[in-house]
Amino acid sequence: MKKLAIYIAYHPPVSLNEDGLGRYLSFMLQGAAQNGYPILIAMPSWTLKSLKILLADNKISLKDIELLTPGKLPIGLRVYDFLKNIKKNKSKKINPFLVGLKSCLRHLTRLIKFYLHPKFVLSHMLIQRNIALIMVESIGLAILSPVLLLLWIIKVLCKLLITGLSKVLPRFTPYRYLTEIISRVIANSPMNEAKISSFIQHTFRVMYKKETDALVKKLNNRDDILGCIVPTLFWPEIKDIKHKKITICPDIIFFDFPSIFQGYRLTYEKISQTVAASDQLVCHSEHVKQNHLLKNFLLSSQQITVIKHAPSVVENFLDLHRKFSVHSTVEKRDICLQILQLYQKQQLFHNLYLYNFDFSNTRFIFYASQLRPHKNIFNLIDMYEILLRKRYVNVKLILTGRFDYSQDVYNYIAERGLQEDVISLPSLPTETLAALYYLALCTVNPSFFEGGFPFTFTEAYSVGTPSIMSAIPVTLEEVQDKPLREVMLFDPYNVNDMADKVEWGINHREQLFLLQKPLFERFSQRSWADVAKEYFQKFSDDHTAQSDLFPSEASNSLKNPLLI
Amino acid sequence: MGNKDKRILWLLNHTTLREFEVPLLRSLGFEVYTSKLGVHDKGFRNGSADYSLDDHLTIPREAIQCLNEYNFYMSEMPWQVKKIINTYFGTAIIAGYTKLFVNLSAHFEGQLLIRAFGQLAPMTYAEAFSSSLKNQFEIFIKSMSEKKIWLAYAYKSIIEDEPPYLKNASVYLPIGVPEHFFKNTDSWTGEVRSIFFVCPNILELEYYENIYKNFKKNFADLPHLIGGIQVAEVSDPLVLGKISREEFNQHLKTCRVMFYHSEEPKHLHYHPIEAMIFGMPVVFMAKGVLGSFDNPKNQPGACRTIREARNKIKRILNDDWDFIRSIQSAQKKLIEPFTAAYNKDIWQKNLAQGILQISPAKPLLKKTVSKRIAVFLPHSSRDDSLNAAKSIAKMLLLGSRERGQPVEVVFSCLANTYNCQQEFSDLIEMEIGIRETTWQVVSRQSVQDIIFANMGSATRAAFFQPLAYDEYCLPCDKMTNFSDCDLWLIVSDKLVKPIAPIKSFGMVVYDYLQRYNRNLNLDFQLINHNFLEHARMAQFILTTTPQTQQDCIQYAGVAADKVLLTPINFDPGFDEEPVLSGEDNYFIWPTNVEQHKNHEAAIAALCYYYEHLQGTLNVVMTGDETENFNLKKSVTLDRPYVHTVRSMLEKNKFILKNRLKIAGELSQHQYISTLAAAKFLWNPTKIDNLTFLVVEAAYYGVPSLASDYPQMQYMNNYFNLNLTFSTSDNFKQIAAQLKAMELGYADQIKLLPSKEFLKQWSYQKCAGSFYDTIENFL
Repeated sequence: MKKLAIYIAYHPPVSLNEDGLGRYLSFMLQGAAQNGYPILIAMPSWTLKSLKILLADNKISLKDIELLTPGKLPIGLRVYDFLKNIKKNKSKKINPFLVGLKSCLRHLTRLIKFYLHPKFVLSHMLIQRNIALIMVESIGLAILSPVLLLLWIIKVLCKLLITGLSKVLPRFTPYRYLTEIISRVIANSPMNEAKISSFIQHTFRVMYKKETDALVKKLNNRDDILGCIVPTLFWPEIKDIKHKKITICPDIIFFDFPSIFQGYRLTYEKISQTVAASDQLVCHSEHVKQNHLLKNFLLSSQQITVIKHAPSVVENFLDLHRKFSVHSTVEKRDICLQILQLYQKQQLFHNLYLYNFDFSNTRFIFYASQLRPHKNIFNLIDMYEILLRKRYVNVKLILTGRFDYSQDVYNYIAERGLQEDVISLPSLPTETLAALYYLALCTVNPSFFEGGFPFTFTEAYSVGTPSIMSAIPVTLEEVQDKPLREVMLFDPYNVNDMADKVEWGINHREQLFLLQKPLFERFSQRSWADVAKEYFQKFSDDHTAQSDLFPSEASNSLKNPLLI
Repeated sequence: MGNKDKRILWLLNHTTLREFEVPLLRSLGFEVYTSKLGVHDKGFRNGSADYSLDDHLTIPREAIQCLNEYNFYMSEMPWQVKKIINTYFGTAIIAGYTKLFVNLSAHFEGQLLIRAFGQLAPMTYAEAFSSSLKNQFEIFIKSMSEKKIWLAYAYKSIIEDEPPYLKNASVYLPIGVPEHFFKNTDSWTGEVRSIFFVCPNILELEYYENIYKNFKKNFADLPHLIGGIQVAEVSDPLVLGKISREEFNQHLKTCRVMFYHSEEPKHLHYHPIEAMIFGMPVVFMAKGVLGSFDNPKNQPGACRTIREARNKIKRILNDDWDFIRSIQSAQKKLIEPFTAAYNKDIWQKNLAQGILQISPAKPLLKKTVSKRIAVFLPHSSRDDSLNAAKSIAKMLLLGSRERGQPVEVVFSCLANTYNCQQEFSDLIEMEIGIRETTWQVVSRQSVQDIIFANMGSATRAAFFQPLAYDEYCLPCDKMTNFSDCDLWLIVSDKLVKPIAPIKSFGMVVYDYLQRYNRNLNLDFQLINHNFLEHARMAQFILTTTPQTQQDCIQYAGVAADKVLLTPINFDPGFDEEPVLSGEDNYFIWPTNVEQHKNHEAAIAALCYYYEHLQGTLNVVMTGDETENFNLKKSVTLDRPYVHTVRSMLEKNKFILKNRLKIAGELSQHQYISTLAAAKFLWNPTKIDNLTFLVVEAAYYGVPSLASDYPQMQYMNNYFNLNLTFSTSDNFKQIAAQLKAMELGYADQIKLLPSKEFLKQWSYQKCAGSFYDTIENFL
C-alpha cells in the first residue's frame, strides 16, 4: 500500500504543540491509524523532536508512521541545543571532577592572595604555638619566595599604573575604561547587534532553503508515495514536489478583516505561490471556499474540496487506570482538580495571585484559544465586565492565550482592574485543558471568524460542558435549529447580547447541555477516520485522472491575478 | 475502650491491601472506614475505592458522605472532616504520602499509623519524609510528648535502616494476601512453555522501564510473556497490556515459570505470592524480600545471580519436573506468612493489645478551663467597624453562655488611640477585658522559633507550612501577646503584613468592593494581593452576606469550607424619640466621599429630577467628610474624585441651588432627627457592603429608595424592609424612581416592618447563632 505523505516545513523555533495545526495533525494521524493507512511525515530535522512530543502527548503510536527528515540537525542548531541544555541542566548534573577542580583553584588563589600580604603572614606566624611548624612554613616560603616576589612586584606595578593613570585622567577607572574599549571595538566590528540579527536571519534563511530542498529531493526520490498533504498555505517550495499535492487552507483571515491584520503582504505572496503550486485545495467550511478562495484566486469550484472537521473530544485525556466516564461526579471533579493543582504547582508558582488560589469551588467561564485579533477578546472582556459588575454574576473568565504575547489584551484588562478575574492559564497540557473544560460552567467562543466549526464546542461537550458561541458563518451553517440558535448563538458585535446568552447559559447549564445534545450527536457521527478516508480518496480517485483535471496550463491559472 | 477506639480510619486505597487488611481488622473487632478519593497519578495503579464497605459503619450517613467527598491526599482538611474524624475515630492507618501525613498529624487527635510496606532501597522512610518536610519531620516525631505516631512496617527489613527516633516509634504489622487469592490454590498446569514476567507502567515510570529493559537484556532469547497494567501501549507484542483479571489468572495457571526480578530488600510485589499460591514455580532473587522469609538454601527457586536464574529457568522450561516439584514444595513455606491465620495473631498482639492499649486515644476532653477568644480591631476606627467589632465581642460572650460553654473574651484595640474607660465602658461592664495593642513586625525566623517552641495542636498545622513571607505582624499587649488566647478573631482583612500563624485565627471580611470598581491604582493592586493572601491564611473567614461569601471564594481564592456566613445583628445606636425640626419637605442622602457611592450618576439624576420631572422635594446630603462637596467651603481632602464631584456640582449649581443641602457630618442625635423628618432615604450607591442605613430608616418609620445590588437585596429580604429599588447607572431611571417615591412615599411607609419586628435582631438575640458559627474552630 502506498503511503500518504504529510509535508511540514516550519522554521526552527515553532513548537507543534502550541499550534492549532499540531492538533489537526494529531487528529488526522489518529484517523489514519484507525483506517490502517500508512503515513509518512516529511519534515525538517528540527521539527522531529517537537513532533515526537506531539505524538506522545496525544497517545499516537509510531507503528504505522514513517518519519522522514533530510538528516541530522544542522551544526548551528546542535550548538544552540547544547548551550540551552547546559543552562537547563546546570543545577541538575554535577560533575564531581569539575567541582573538585574549582574548589582546588579557589583554595590556591586564596592561598596566594594570603601570602602576598606580609602582615597576614606575620600575624599568622605570631599566633602559632609550635615553633617547628613555623620553621617548616618559613622554609616553604623561602623556596617559593622568587615566585611570590614576582607576583608581588606585578601587583605593586599594576597598582602604581592605575593610580598614576587616574592622576593623569581624573575620571579614569580601569573597568570603565575597559568596557568603553570593548564597546567601541564591538561597534566598529562586524558584530554589532543589528548586524548579528541580520546575520542570524540570513543563516536561518539559507539553512531553511537548504533543508527544504533536501527534504523535497528526498521525497521526490520515493516512489511509494500516493500523494502529499500540505497542511498550510505558507510553503511555496512545494512546487518542486513531484507527487500530487493537496494543500489545506484553514482560512485566509485577512480577506475578511483586512485592517486588523497588518503587514501581511509577504504572507500573501507566499500564500498565492502555494495556491499556485497545489494540485487541489481543501478547506473546512463552505464560507472559506466561497469567500476566501473562489473570490480571490482564479480557481474552479472542482479544485476545492470542503472536508469538514470531525469532533475533537478530550475526555480520553482524563482516562488513566480507569476510563474517566466510569467515575462518579465527585471523583471526576476531584480528578480534574488534582490535574489543575499540579499545573498550578508547576506553572503558576511565580504568580502572586494564583500560586495558592483554591480552585475547588471556582465558578468560571472558559475560552481556550490564542489571543489573535479576530478572536474578539476585547468584546469578551467587556461582556465579562458587564456580567460581573452590572449583573453581579459571580464568576471568573479563564483564557488560555498568553498575555505576554498580547500586551494590548493585558492592558485592556488592567485598565478595567480585572486582572484578578480575567486570568490566563497558558501552555496547557492536553490533560489539563480537558480538566478545565470539565470544571468550566460553560465555554464561550466569541470569535468573529473560524475556518471550521470551532473545536471548543465538542471538546467541552465531551466532558459535559455546554458552549455559547458567536453567530458567524460556520456556526450558522451547522446550527440550523432555531430555538437552539436563540440560546447558544450571540451577535459577536453586541456585548449585551453576548452577556444575555452567557448569563442564561450559566444559569441553565443542564438545559443548554441537553439542547445541544442533537448537535453533538450529529458531529459525533463523523470520525477522524472518515476525515482521513476523504483525504485518501481524494488521492486514489483522482490518481489516474490527474492529468485531465490538472492540465499544465490550468496550474498557471491558479495564480492570483493581483500578482500577475 | 470506647466506641471511638473501636473505629479505624484506613486511608490507603490500595486494592489488594484493603482486601486483606480490612477483613482482618474487622475480625479483630474494629469498625473500618476506607478512603475513597485517590491520587490521579500513573504510579497509583493499584488504587481504588470500595463504597460497599461503608455499609458496616455505625456512624451517621452524612458523616460518611462528607469523608467520601474529601481527598485526604490532596487538599487541606476542612473543619467538618476534622470534626468527624476526631469525634468518631481513635486510630488512623495511612499511606506514606506527605500531604496525607501532614493533614492527619496536624488535625487528628488519635493514634496515627504510617503503613510502611516498601520503600525503594536505599531510601528509608525517615529520609523520604525528610526530603519533603525537611528536618521538621524528625523534630515533629521527637516532640510528641506521648507516642501517637507509629511506623507500621510490613517486613522486618523495612525498619533496619531507619534512625532510632523512628525505630522507637515502630510497630510490626505484617502484610498478607486476600482470602480470594487462595481460591486458585494448586491449580497450576504449566503447559505453556514460557516465562511469565510481570512489569507494569513500562512507558510511564523509569523504574519499571529499567526493569523491563534488564529483563529483555537477560531473557529475551527465552520464550516469555509480560503482564502488568500499561497505560500507554508498548510496541512489544509480548507485552500483554490491558488484560482482564481472568486472563491474568489464566497466564498464572498455564505459563511454565515465573521470574521475579526484585532485589529490593524492603518491597515485595503481590504477583510472586499469587503465582506460588497457584502452584506455579517462581524463580526469584535471594536478595529480595522473599529471600528473607526462609533460608535461601532451602529454596530451590532462590538465585544469587541472573546466570543462576537463567539456568534454573531453562531447566524448568526443559521439563525438569523433579526440579519443578522441589520448587513447588519448598515455596509453600513462603506463602504461609501471607495467610490471614498467621497475621491475625501478630496484629492482635501488636495492634489491638499492643500500641492501642499503651496509649488509647483520649476522648476529646472538654477543657475544664474556659476558652479565651481575642477579638482584634487592628485599625483606629470610631465608626461602623468599631461598633461591629464590639458587637462581635459581646455576641461571643453572650452566645457561649447561652450555649452552656462560656468563653472568656478579650478585646484588642490600637494602643494610644482610645480612652478605653470611656469608649469601651459597655465592654468593660460585661467583663470583656480591653487590651491596648501595638502591632509589631517580626521576622520569619522569629515566627519559626515561636512555632517550634509552642507546638500545641493549634500550631501543628502551621508547623509544616512553609512561611512564605519575610516579615509578619504580631499583636503585642505588654503581657503574653495574646498567647493565652485560644482563638484570635481579626475584624478586618486590611493588614499590611500577614499575621504570624502562631495561633488559630479567623478574619471578618465585610466586602471586596475593589473587585467591582475600575481601580487603576497599581500600588493598591499590590497591597490588594496581600489582603487576599491574608484571607487565605486564616482558618476561617466570617462574612455577612452571601455575595461577600462568594467573593471570598471566587475572588480571594479561599477554600469554600472556610468561608462562613454569620447572622446579621441590628442595634439602633440611639433609642430615644427623635426631635423633629420644622422643615420636612426633603429626602435624606447619607453618603461619604468614596467613589463607589456613585455621586456622578446621583447628581445627574437629581438634576434630571428637578429639571425634567418637576421634582418638589429637596435633598439633604449627610455623612463623613461630605463638607468637601460644599462649594462654599474649601476642600480639606485633596483627592481627584472630590474635585470631579465638586466640578459636577459647580456645573449644575443653578439647578441644585436651594434644593441640595449639604449637612455634612452630623452627630448621631442630629442624624436621627434629620432622618426621622425626611420623606424617604436615598441610597444611590453602586455596590456596597452591608449598610444599616436602610434598616435604621425603617426603624424610624422612613422608607428607602436604594440601588439594586446583591447585598441590598439580601438586607431587604433579611429584615423584610420592602425597599424600592433603582438601577445605579442610568440617571433617568433613578430620577424617575425619585419622582415615584415623591408621589408614593406615604404608601411605602405602610409597608415598613415594625420596631418590635426589627428588635428581634439585636445582638443579644443573635448571640447564640453567632457563636454557633465559630464554635467549630475553638
